[in-house]
Amino acid sequence: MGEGSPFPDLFLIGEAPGANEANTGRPFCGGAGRVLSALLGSAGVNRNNCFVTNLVKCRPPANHLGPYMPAAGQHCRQYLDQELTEHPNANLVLLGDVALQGVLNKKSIMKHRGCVYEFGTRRVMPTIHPAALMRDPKMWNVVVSDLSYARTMARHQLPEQRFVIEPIIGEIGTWFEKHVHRGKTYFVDIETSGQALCCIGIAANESDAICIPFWHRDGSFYWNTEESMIVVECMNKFLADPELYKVMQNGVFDTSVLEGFGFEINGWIADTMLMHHLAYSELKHSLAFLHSIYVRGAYYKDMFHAEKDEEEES
Amino acid sequence: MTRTLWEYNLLDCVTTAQVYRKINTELETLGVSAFYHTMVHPLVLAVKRMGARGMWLDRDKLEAMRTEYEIKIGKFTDAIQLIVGKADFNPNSTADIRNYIYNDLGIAIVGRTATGAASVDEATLLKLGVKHDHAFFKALLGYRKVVKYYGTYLKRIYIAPDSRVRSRFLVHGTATGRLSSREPNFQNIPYDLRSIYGANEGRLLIECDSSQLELRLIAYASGCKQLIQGFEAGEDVHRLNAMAIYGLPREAVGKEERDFAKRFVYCQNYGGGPKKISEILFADAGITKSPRECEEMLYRLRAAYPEIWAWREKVLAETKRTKIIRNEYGRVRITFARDEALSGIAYNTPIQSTAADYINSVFLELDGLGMCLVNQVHDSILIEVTREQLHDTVLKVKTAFERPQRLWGRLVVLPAEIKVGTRWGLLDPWQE
Repeated sequence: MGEGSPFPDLFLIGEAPGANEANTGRPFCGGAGRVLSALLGSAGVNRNNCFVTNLVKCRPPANHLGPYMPAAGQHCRQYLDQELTEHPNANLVLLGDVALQGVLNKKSIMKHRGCVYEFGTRRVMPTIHPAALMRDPKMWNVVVSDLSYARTMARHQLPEQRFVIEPIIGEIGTWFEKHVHRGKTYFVDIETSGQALCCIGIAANESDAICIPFWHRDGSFYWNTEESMIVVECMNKFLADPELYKVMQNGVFDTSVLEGFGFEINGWIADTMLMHHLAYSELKHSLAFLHSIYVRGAYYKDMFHAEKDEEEES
Repeated sequence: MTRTLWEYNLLDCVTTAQVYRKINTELETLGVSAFYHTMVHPLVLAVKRMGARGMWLDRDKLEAMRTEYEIKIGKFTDAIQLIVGKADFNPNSTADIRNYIYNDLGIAIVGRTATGAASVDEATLLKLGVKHDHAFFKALLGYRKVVKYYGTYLKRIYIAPDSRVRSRFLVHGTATGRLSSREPNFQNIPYDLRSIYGANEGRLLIECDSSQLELRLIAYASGCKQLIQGFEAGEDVHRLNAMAIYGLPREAVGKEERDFAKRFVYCQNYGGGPKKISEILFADAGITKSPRECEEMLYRLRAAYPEIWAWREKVLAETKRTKIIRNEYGRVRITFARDEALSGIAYNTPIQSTAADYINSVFLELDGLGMCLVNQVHDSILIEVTREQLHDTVLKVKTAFERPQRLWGRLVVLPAEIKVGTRWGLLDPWQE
């Protein structure tokens, strides 16, 4: 069973007891426990102010939990629920894939690491298991950053989203009039499907964004002929203006595609992927990873695939 | 479904906005914000232009090379079957290879795969090749190399209708700032296959290569007097290295010793120990030197250039303490490697990263002059020109390469060698 503060700052959930834990009956008391204490210390979290437990309460045969999941997790869930009831206000940190699957029913810790989810009235953040860091410490500082953020995630507030999706032609003009001014910086991204340019997205800040659609995924064009001329001209002006500054993620791809469609691109002043590479060349630079470090909302990069799966199932 | 895609698109946009604000602050804290805007971002634009240009490819020569490599593969197969003594031995079959090494030759297993089978991967073959001086290992490694080259550089390449092959160059592909190249990798094309590429009809290729760049930078970084004097007096530094490695007087160093020294010093520059050097020598050149022999050579090299080892100890200690390495142009590398794996990164990064940004700065200057840059292979840049542009371009390129650089507190000139011709790999030294 778990142990720790009766009024913890954080409630940490691991996988299952290892040899040391099984012998002593205490969670995270072996090598992985020492790593966890060190991580918490670096993150400014006192382990004595945490509650630490495991999803599965017994040591699996040969220390290999894989074949017994999810049954073992479901069986032990009653004990975890009891521990959660006894510590009603603490936010949760899920250490590794097993805890992620057992609590949030999500897979792939590398996808969901660092993201913040709602769990009843609590906030929950998955991160990498300390034992994995013993094998490969490259993500050490990332986990420290996760734990540090976890302390304050109760106050986590994503910016309000004021998105214009499926605009009518007049809305584009209104949005540009309100938000587009020379000397300002815009955040641009495109989506493609095969050879088609599905849409161009523009954010004026962290909340206000407009999606300029071109093609539906079924192959039909969004605008009528007259409208399309207005939209293309509007995009041409926006993309070609060197004083409307653009920031992109992996802009080499986006600019190449846009140039292929005849748009001229000027004012591309920065690329978040390259900026991150310059600061942390040994880490990943995908937008999903950057989102998990700098934004911390729920993982959204699979939303399109998730919906596709649901449609196929129905 | 489409609406979800559009929403996803906007989530990407606002995520980029949030990431940009935070990472911009981090770049400023690290003191590399200006470096990003003056070096990295302009470089990505220049590199994109180069990637879009591509390199001209001679289709007839490609066909001839394909045939030549098919013959080579056949010859290697025959040689391996002869060594093994089985006409039906398949060099692509791991089962056949495993059976021959561990059953027929009776060699002890040195590693296993995830499924528990005896390993026959390249690393294992290299270890066995160094340990057991048997012709099979050399032949099999040679076969695998030829098959890989054939598949990668002769078969799986897309040639555009304008007879140009376009590679994707990345400015974020390495931790040191060097460019990398993909699909195909233009930086890794074997020397004998480079003649497939060239200048379009009526045009010429200029290749400008910074001479012994990394060795020069090691000399300047460490303040190694003997090497600096050698470079500044225009001496053949590989000969100096051979004298050190073999403990021979100048007149006793022949071509073989010089070439070996060049390779040996290159291997050890990356912090490789005797065992690693021994394996690289075998893999790259089929040279069999035991780890013991390599250790003795390293010892003599260290005695000849004590400043280099003193510098290495200093940078390693500093890197262990700060986990940050800064090159001479201001780029930083924050490393997350364990202390025990840090030596290679600590020795290599200041040198390779400084070399990379020196070449990148030259590359940017030449791009700014409107030159038709078509490839960058580590320390060299390739430019396509018309015959009329040749003389003027050579002068400008040489000036850009040899502009004095302030490195480790010294003002140094890094000399460059220029070659000109119509086919890459068959270029001739430039003569006025």
